[in-house]
Amino acid sequence: MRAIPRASWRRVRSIDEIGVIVALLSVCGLLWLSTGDRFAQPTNLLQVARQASSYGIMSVGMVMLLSMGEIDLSVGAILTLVNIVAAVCLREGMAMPVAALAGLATGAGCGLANGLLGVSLRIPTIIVTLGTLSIYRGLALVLSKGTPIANFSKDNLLFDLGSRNLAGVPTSVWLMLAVGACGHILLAHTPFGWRLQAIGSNAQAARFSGIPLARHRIAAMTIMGLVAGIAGIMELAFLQAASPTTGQGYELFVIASAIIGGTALTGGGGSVAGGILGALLIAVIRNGLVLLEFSAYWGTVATGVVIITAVAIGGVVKKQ
Amino acid sequence: MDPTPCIRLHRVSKRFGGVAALDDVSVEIGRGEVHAVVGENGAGKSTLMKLLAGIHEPDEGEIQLDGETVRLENPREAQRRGISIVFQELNLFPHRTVTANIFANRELAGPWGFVRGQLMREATRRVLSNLDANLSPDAIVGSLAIGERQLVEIARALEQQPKILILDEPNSALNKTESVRLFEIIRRLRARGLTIVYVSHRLEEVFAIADRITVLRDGHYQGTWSTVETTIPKIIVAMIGRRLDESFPQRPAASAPGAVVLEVRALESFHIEPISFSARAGEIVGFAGLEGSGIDELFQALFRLNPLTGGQILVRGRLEKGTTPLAAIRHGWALVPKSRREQGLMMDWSIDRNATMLTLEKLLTRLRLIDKRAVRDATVRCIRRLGMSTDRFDEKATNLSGGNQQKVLLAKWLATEPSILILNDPTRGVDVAAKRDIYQLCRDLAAQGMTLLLTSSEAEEIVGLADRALVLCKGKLVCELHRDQMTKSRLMHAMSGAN
Repeated sequence: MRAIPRASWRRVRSIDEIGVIVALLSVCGLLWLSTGDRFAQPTNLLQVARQASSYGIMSVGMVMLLSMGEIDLSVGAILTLVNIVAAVCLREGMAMPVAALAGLATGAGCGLANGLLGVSLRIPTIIVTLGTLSIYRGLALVLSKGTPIANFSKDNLLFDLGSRNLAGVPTSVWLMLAVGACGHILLAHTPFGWRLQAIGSNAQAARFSGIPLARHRIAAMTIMGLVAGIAGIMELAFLQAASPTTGQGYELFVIASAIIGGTALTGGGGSVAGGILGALLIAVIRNGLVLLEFSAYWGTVATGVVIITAVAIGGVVKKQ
Repeated sequence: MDPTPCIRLHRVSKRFGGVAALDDVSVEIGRGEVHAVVGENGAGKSTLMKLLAGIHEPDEGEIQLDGETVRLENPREAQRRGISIVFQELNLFPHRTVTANIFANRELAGPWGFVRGQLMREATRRVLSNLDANLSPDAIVGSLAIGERQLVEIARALEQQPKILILDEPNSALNKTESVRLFEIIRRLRARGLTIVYVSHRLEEVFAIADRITVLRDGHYQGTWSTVETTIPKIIVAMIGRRLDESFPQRPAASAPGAVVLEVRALESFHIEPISFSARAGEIVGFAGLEGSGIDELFQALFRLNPLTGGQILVRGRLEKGTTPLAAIRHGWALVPKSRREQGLMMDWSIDRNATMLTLEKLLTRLRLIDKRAVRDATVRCIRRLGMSTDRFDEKATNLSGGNQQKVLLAKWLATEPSILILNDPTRGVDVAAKRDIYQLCRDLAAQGMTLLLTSSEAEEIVGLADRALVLCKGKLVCELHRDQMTKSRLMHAMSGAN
């Protein structure tokens, strides 16, 4: 440690994502040592990244919400509903772009509804979305009559891209990086993003500064819905079928990704890159447990352990 | 007086990181005296109190209580030794009752482990009546006025039957009547033999209450004086290390009055009866009133934070139709709020982010992204203007002294180049030197033609700065005093509602 000058060590410690970076590197290192090439070979790593893409994309919206002191529990249900709506549209013979747009509009609409309900009824977002979680998931069940939908033409660009690699990397990973880049720029480099963080830092001072709280809340919830919609279409493209059980429990992993990535539940700031790294960490662990031939049930336990560990590492490193 | 001091701090030092908060400080506090500790922000007063409260331990030196060297390693140990502290920031649970607050973490429980509500309520009633506080033990603390909450804090400290009571800036949030009441309580406690350490900014009040005064500056001990043998100017010199010849900047020579900028006609809002007044360019209009006078509400209504229920606001003859603060800002209004921690700043944000948050639209690159260098430059510009001494613009607001926080807040609002600036108690909890800077700033802004609406919890400031004062009492405009009629006693008289 003596080789590193004090100042740069302090710089390293001040990185918001330090916890997730340390956790990700150490878990990858351990897996490499214990499974050798099986973990480290490119096809496996790309597979892991693909698995992370759904959580990763949605964590972009979640980081924005958390940084303004809000949260959305209905993201998994929005993904399911979008998934089903797009599949139903295709089944009914609509053109692929129309079906995809209908899906995205459904996602954004669900988010908008969350925001409008919260603002107009003056209910905290966590409670609104606890309700809409059930509503959106219920609508997905109604639309699909509880069964998977796969009887539609897959002979178009969407399903082509969904199952293919671009430049050797799965399309969904590119999509995650693209959404992540947009989200990062929006949150860290635009007045809108700074105002979201201002609201999360001190809502009363934000109000005294003339920031319209309701409008920002609705906008952020809508973005969250749109992003969940993107993930929903992407899952459809990859799986080539829609199911009313896709996306179940995703909300917890998405929130976990954001928190593992160094975004505080209390608001005031957040890291989009951290959220994506958090999603990667969760995917790496699940992958590792499969490689190590643990039962899938232990995977769930291990995920929980890692969430707590990553957040604790972040806290300990910073406190020093 | 007993020759063994009640508290003896011997050559204590305390460092945080590389900064010495206290450097080789020795103080003796006699039994049964009211001992004031004064100094500017950052002088080390609060650190000293935290050593006594067991929150920090000194790096060097020792603490003696009644001649015995002690280690106060945690707050519990300090409490056990009879030291109770009332902190500057109110540390209460707003959703809980007065009783629950007073007994927080010291709940009385019966043999089965259930709390004994009746017993605690009785004890609460007793300690409140000792303070002459007319409060119900079952009142919810969040619904009390600030002065009443302060009483709850003091009651909590006293319920622990301390020998030493530390009050850390107890009156920074209190109005005049509440302060007077606090002093009566302090005198009564002293008569009962309690030793009281009193940290404050307000020298006039320190002189009214303290037996002796200790001055700290930049973590160094400057001396201890008996109140009767010293004067306010002498203490100020010790505090700031130079002489302030006069507190308020010279008034400019009378010039032709500016054009009428603001006209308020029969404005009505929460807690405000119809009020009409006008203000000119380059004029500083003072608003005087006690807590509950309606000035806060008036300012918030003018800034459209509270809806108007009647009346009109005209700026340069044009009706203000906007109903949001954003609309007000666009029409040249700015409001520097009363509580900079709660309403003013993002405390976990850096100086530059705070200072530029209202003018981000002007600091964008061609791609409409925030230009970090422009943010930095804009911060340098507005901070310079306020004579703030720092070059660490990435420092978080929470780490700044009260004076510098206030300057960041002022910089944030001045960056919008307002034509009407509302200042709600701009010198609250600010050190002497920063106060002077703020007074000068007010004068300069007025000289540039800005209209200032100003209120202060210190009536002297209104007398010293305003060209004209409007006095409000219980939501009503009771009188208007012109600059040559204005004296502090006249103002106080009108504020109290006496005719």
